[in-house]
Amino acid sequence: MIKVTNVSYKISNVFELQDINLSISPGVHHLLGPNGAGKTSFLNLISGLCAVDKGSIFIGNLEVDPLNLRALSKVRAYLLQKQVAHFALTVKGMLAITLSLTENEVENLCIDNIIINGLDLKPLLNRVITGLSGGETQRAHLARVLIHCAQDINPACCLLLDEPFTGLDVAHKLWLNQYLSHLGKKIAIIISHHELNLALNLAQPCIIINKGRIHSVLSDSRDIEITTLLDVFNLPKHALIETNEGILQIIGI
Amino acid sequence: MPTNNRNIYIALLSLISVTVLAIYYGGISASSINPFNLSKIESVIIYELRIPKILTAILVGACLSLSGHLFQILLSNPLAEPGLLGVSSLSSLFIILGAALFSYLNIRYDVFFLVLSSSLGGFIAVSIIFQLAKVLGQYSSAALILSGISLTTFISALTSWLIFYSENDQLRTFNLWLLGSFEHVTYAQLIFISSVAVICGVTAMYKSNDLNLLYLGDQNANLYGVKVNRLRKYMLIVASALAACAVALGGVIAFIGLLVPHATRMKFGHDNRLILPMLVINGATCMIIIEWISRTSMSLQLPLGLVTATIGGPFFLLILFKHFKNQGL
Repeated sequence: MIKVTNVSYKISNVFELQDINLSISPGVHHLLGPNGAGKTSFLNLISGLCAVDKGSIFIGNLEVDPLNLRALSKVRAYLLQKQVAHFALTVKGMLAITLSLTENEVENLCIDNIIINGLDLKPLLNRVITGLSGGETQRAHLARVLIHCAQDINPACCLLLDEPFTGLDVAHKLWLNQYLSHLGKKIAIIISHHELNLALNLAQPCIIINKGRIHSVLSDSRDIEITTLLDVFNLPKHALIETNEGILQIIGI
Repeated sequence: MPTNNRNIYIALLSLISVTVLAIYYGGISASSINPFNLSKIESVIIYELRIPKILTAILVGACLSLSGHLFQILLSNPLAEPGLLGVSSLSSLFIILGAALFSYLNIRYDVFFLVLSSSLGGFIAVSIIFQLAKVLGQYSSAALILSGISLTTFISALTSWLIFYSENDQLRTFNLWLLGSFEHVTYAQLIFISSVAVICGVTAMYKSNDLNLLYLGDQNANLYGVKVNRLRKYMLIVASALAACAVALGGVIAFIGLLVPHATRMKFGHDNRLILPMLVINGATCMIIIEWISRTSMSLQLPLGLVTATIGGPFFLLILFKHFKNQGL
């Protein structure tokens, strides 16, 4: 569903993404790698925020190109790592703007919506986004992005999330994982994050990226090898244990 | 949306009633006029003196508040205002330079040239500020505002020097106009400038969905399909043209471009589809009231800038205390 062919992208004079070839089908894909590996730049390229220097990216039949922004916005949603807020919009107002609805229509939409309920957004609807705590901000923007991908509202086929777990409390993290696993049956999802234990637990595809290159692509994240964890993530050996079920885990995080 | 429609009707109604009041009530020095029994002098007073001023007030208020709101969105900075960014001051400098040039060449300083030179000044101010802010710190809002303030200060000083040393009587009259005054506005000026303003306003309203998405930051707007750089360029031209219209009519009037958008957004939300028409109405209402106060409260006409600064300063502090503490702007 997402096809990345021979993509290169120069980030700075000393760092670039090189020779990326990937084919991503529906499902939840974990994008893992240490800080500065190029995860966010990679997501920026797929979303069309940045233009590739070489190569091509397709989402479905649509080429990712800054000229196609309007069409792209219908088929993919992308949660940025950092959100900026200079104006005191209410959460409801933000949803109204992004969905091109009036505030009353948003209220009706929120009455019995799985995403709004799952992220417990109802008490936040009338709060302003500049006055929310970190986790609340993340929930509000997550809801905005997830609603953009809700198949009954907008049949997008690609969801990109850059560190969606930042600031979320445990209950919402759990809900998000369940929701994404469910949604992943229909659309391609790429999540960049640092929750290695989570990835090691779930039998979901994962892409490991390091120093601007794809290190490995695995169809089952439980197959991540010890050497990968030691080399790519610079973990000390004594931090790794194997559970009784044979799953690798990192202790102390 | 019935509630929002009702809000617009209420705002319109208050605009109309304020207009009517301002036309008929004269204040301390002038008498009130009975609308149903106009003598010859009274009709001259109304049609030649009061109505042009009130129409100017409507136009200036609408232009200033729209342009302030647009600058605030486009520069992602709730503190932006044409007066603060140097747009107003450079516009007025260009008007004065234009007047000097035209009187030197012995050509009539037509309203078209007035607006043209004023707009030119506005565009130049915006581009200078953009360049400065780019060099200083990647368009950060602090860089934008600080470069705007330094530009304003410098240009105002330059204008004062110019007026101070000029022999020309015409230039000296500009001194009064610089503080904000609706004297000498003619119907011809009103018609031309209002058509420019209407075009700008309609363009902004046409783009209100895209402007809405800018609230979420450039990158998010981009993700929702807005070509941010292009939108910003065109809308900055629209915003500075609106500011230039206001300056060409009434000189530099501070605070309206900051106060009215803030108050309107706090009361009616941020959705541009609703807010833009609301801003036009509220800006006009505010400006009529200010013009009316300046005309009626004392036996001599007060400069408008004086009235806006006197009322605006404390009022703005009040708004800040009420909303800034836990919400931000």
